[in-house]
Amino acid sequence: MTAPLLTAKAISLAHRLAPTDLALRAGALTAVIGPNGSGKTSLLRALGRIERPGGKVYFDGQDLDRQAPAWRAARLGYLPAGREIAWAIPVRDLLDLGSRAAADERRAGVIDQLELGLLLDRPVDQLSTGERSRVLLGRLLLGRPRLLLLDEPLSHLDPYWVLGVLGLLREAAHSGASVVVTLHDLHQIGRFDRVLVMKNGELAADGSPRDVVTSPVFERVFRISADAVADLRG
Amino acid sequence: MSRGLLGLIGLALAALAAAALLLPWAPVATLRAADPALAWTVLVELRLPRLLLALGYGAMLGISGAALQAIFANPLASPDITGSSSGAALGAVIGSYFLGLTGPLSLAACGATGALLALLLLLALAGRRADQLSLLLAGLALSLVAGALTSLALALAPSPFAFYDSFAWLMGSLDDRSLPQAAAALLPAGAAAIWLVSKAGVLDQLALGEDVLAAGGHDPARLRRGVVAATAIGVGACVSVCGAVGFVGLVAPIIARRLVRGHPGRALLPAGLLGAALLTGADLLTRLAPLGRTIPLGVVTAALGTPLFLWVLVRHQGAWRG
Repeated sequence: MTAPLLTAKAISLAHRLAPTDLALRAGALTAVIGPNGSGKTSLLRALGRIERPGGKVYFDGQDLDRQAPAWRAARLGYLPAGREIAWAIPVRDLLDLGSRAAADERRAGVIDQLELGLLLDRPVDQLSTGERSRVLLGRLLLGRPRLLLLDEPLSHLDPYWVLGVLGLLREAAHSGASVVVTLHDLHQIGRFDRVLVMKNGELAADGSPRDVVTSPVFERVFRISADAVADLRG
Repeated sequence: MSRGLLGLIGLALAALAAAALLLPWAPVATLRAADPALAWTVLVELRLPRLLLALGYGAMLGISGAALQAIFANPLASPDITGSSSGAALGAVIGSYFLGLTGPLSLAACGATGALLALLLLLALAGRRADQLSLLLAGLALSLVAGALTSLALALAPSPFAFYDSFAWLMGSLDDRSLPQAAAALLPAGAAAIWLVSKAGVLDQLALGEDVLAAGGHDPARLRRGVVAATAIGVGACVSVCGAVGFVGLVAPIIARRLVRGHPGRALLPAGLLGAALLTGADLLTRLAPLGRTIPLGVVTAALGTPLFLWVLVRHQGAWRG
């Protein structure tokens, strides 16, 4: 068993996240689920040290708080739940914003996979929310970060792109990234390697999708039957 | 932005600067015939401070406007609309008439304090990343209150001539400023401008949101505080010497962003150049007044800026949805 890519020790946010320990493996696709206000986004924010009141996060054994912006930008990609961008920046420019320009081949690949070719010269503030989601995701994938923290990456996407984006995230995991995704639509949790269930700012369950869905915790947390949302027969 | 375009703006700026120094030429020529040394004194001690103030104040307004727009994620944020210019004017009036301050540097400090208080109040009232409406309304309220308090302070001032004395200054004026006055305005403004421009790259990334910036190891709250403090110091110092000049800080960044493909941070430098050109041009226009009369600078910038502003508003309605 190799050392985890990321180890969080007692990370916490006042009133939103109780002290939590967590280890994330490279190559794994992890879903964070839970009712509204259960602390899914808080967990992501604490993992990415966007707010840092409590605990420590070690990335490859290095304290994340002590790393320079360039070091962090090259390793950690964060997608916030809000997709608004106030400025009329062309998609072409936005893809490279805040990171070193990716190799042409890589760039062409991501543009092709997310079908961004026709959007390249359009100002990002004039796209639909779903299109903007794809652009922002493309920007993250271009940098090949080893940790992807994505807040609701499947929201605003049509069914074709829900599956398309899940495929791309699986591909990123295959090439060694650890991908953590918050989810509202529980129909997709069967496609993840690991599921974290949040309740009232605490990690209530942690395991494979099958384990989590069949555990009594699931019905207690969501107040609905697992059969109603997740088909895990396939 | 292409080098050619930058060069073009630079060239226009140089032409405007030369014109501001040399026009009107007739009095300089007459003086030169009579007493060359006096002509030189007129150029260096009267016209040079005026030119430097026009360039520096204009650049400060452009850069501040661009930086405020970037941190508020809002194309309407600018020194005048956020109430910081009015706050600076109030600070300078209080310093001058109630604290009895006369040194240009201490008045500049009062202006900066007023501007800072106005910006902090605005942040408290409208919140960060404020939507267009709350930013506009809170800024409008602050400007009105600061304007009313300025009038009140002048009405209650010990000097009965306070109103009359300060009218020209309040409306914006670069006339008859000395080199020390120019230094009091431009040294703080220069330091603030350099700091702001050094943050251009981070301000570009702020387009992706504060959380993305924080995930990348930056501190968005510190950046916001720094921008607010730098614009308050720079604009406050300039207002204390030249009065409040509207529209330049709003219009220059809007045009500048169109030259740099929408990047809010990359727009800082061109916004500074455009602001300098706008204010120098506006000051040239004030010299068209009949002899013995002055046209307030603020009137000219409003007359130039309003149509530009409305043009941008109408052409880019899509980008203005709140």
